[in-house]
Amino acid sequence: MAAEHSPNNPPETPFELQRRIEKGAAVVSLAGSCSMTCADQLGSLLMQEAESDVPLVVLDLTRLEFIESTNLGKVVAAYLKLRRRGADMKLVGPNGDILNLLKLTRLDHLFTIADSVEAALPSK
Amino acid sequence: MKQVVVKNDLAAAKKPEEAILEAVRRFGYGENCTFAIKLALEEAVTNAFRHGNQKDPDKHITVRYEIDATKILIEIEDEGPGFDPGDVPDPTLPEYIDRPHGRGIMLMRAYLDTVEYIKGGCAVRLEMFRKE
Repeated sequence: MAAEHSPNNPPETPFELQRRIEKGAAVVSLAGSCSMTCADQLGSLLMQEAESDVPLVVLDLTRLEFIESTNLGKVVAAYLKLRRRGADMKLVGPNGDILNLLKLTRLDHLFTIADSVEAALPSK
Repeated sequence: MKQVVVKNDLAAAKKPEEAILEAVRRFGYGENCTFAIKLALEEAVTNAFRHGNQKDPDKHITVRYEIDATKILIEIEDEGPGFDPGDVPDPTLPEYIDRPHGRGIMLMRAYLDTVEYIKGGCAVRLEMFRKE
């Protein structure tokens, strides 16, 4: 029933999740298609960060092509948990489609959105 | 309309999604439209899986679709008790903005021309007309 991959049916870009520490912050990079089947993976990693002692989580969305609302909800849940212990989360570099999603949901009012990871990290 | 019935499983529901997106591209709809259809499909399927079928692996999700050069029509149906979409609060209101859930219906409505709940809320009818 599902068509074979072709120019009309390119395979979905696999979701990639990477994490590193930079200037004391956890930089979590999301790439590819963060679809409905990725929510457990994303939620689990973000909750680990929220329950750790990092003061800042930077979500690098530069290479993210797609995200739906369950995964946005995982981001919000982790953000709330971080805020409750005085930590913060910033978003970086969403493409036009993702930025539009953030605006439609008004999550652009909840999060600081930076142009680059460097800009999101503490200056010292 | 073509009809595909899958188990109440998000990974299984990726297969009809793939077939629908292939048809959307084959009829020459643009990338913005493809993004919108993929988003709406995932929102509707996730709602069917979680809220309609309550994650019950013995239930099913039915996907019906009809795509041509002028219109994309999709129906997603679950086996739950139904619901009243009027009971779902606007997730962009200040008091709901930091809730982790509840954005799916609003997003479908933002991207599509028609989002209509039918069969007592057990099914949603999604429609998008060609604009370019």
